[in-house]
Amino acid sequence: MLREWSERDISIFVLRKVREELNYFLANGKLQPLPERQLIIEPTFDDAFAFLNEIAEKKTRVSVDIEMLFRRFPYTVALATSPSVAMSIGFGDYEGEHGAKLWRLLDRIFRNNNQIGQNYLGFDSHWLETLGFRVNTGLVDDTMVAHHVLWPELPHKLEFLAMQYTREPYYKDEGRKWRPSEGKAKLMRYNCKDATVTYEVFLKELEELNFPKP
Amino acid sequence: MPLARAFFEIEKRGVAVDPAKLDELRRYVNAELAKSCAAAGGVIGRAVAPSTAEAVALGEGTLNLGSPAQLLVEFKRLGLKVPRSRKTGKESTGEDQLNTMFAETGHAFLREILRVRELNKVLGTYVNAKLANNILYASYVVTGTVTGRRSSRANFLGLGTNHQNLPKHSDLGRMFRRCIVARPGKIFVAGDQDQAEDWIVQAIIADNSGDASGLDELRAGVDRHRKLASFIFSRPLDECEKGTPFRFYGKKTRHAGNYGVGGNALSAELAKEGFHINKQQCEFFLAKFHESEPSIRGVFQRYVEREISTKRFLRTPFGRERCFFGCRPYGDNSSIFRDAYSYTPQSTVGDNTGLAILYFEGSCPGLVVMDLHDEVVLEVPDSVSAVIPAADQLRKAFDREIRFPNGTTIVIPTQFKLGYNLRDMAECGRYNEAGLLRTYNTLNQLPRA
Repeated sequence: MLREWSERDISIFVLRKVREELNYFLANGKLQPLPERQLIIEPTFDDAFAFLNEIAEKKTRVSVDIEMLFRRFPYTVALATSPSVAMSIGFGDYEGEHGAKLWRLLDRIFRNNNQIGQNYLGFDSHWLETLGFRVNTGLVDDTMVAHHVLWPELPHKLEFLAMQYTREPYYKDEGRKWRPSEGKAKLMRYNCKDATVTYEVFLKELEELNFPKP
Repeated sequence: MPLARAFFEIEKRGVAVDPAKLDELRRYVNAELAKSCAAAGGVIGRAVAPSTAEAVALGEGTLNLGSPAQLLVEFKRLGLKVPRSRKTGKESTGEDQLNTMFAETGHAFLREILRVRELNKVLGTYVNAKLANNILYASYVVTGTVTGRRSSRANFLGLGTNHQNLPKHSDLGRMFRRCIVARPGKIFVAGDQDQAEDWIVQAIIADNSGDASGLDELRAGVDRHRKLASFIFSRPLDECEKGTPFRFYGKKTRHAGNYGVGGNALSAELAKEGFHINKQQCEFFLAKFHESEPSIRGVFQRYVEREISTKRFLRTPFGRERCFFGCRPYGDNSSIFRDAYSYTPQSTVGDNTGLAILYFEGSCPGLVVMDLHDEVVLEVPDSVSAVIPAADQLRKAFDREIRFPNGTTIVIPTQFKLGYNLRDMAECGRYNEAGLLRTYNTLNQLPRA
């Protein structure tokens, strides 16, 4: 900060957040609890079906994020229905009729539901289409594009947006350093976290853009 | 957001590449690489290879042009003074430094190294870009620049390349553009905003000082790049027509002068297109430019500095805002100002292009194939009944009043081009049905390569 003047405003912003946390501690004698998130991983077919079916039926707005294996193959997809609830579903975890039913439900959601994503139009939706889903881009909101409109000169990666708009501690290493030997559960938890954080970011961006909340 | 949605569809189209022409270009580039390495070797008296792999294959004693350390040693042996990088402060063999050295010395070894680098770049970035069914894809990133212009790169599958930086004026650039062809039964229709950024700069000058002389020239259809070239080089106007190096120098000098760029950077910018002009000459061009256009420094740049110093942000006529966080209340803000000079013109032109694409995709979906910052390329069925309405629609798409804070209003005119490949596009001037028809018929009578 002392050597790079252009970082000054970001540093002041971060220090203000630190002060808020400190004030809470001084007033309450304990650290402010972190946001609670229900991250559902490795769901059974019945759980996944019930979750997706409810989203499809109620046309709930969902935050969508996919994780790749070796940066080449779509591996899991997480859908968050709010900043606090998300489920991660492996693309290849369900065989036969079960797999087909879940893929059809996912397709229905991508066609009919409002969707949110971080760089969704530039990355995730292309991969989803490659897998055979049809994404209705008219229903898509992209947190990266919104942030570019609001703050063109700031970084637009989710890690920065999470710092700017949420109280989620830095977690991006959980995904970046993940290796298959660590097990799928860890990646799915990270996947869910990305989806919920994106949802939270989206709501804050909407406030900033002066749009009515959904 | 709607623009991001439009580009989601545009990215899937890509542009066709003629595989035979591309193979021919690949062979040419490889032959030129061998020729340049041999010539460079002839100058220094030992074998030269363009990359590490080839240097290893040629054996010990071979100079690897891909190794900065080996190059530095060789430059010292040849008695060449190596400029230092501004960022690191160390001697550098980067492109800008080599261009500066060559512009200063004209050394044959440097000429060959620069040629090898250019050939390697064209080979790696364009000729060997991954294709799918002979389609060159690109991904347009709507969040790619702070100005709001799109940036471009290979798509999510690693297919294609950057569509927006295709070299234009060098021999290799021309040859590569010839490889990009309209699909069978289709023709390219391009709409280019004429001297677009100059319109914005002159409008800001008129809006802030009342001096509308530049804007009046633009409104009267004067080619100001050509006029500037004629002034700098003391040449008659007809020697500075579009397509001549003089006009190109004029254009680059105008942009550099508008945006506070110095002689070094202008020299490097020209070198990227294969024109090696040294720093002193570039400084002379810039001095002549400011002599002919005193209001650039006196009004335009002063306006930007005042806005940044008092508000710390700039707002374009389309309402896009950018904060300049690095601006200090004291001390040297010159690099921030240089960044800021280009913001409003580039952002406004980029947004105008974006709005035009949005309008066009809304009214005639499926035809836009390229966004080249101030130009949009369509691919339409090869018939009069398709070309004329598409051009008319594109004219309407660009036909937008741009209003400045004190009431100055402009509409940037659009120039049209038609062609079957990206290089040999026939100019049709501003929208005119008869002119377009004439150009289309002339193109159709020419033998198609």
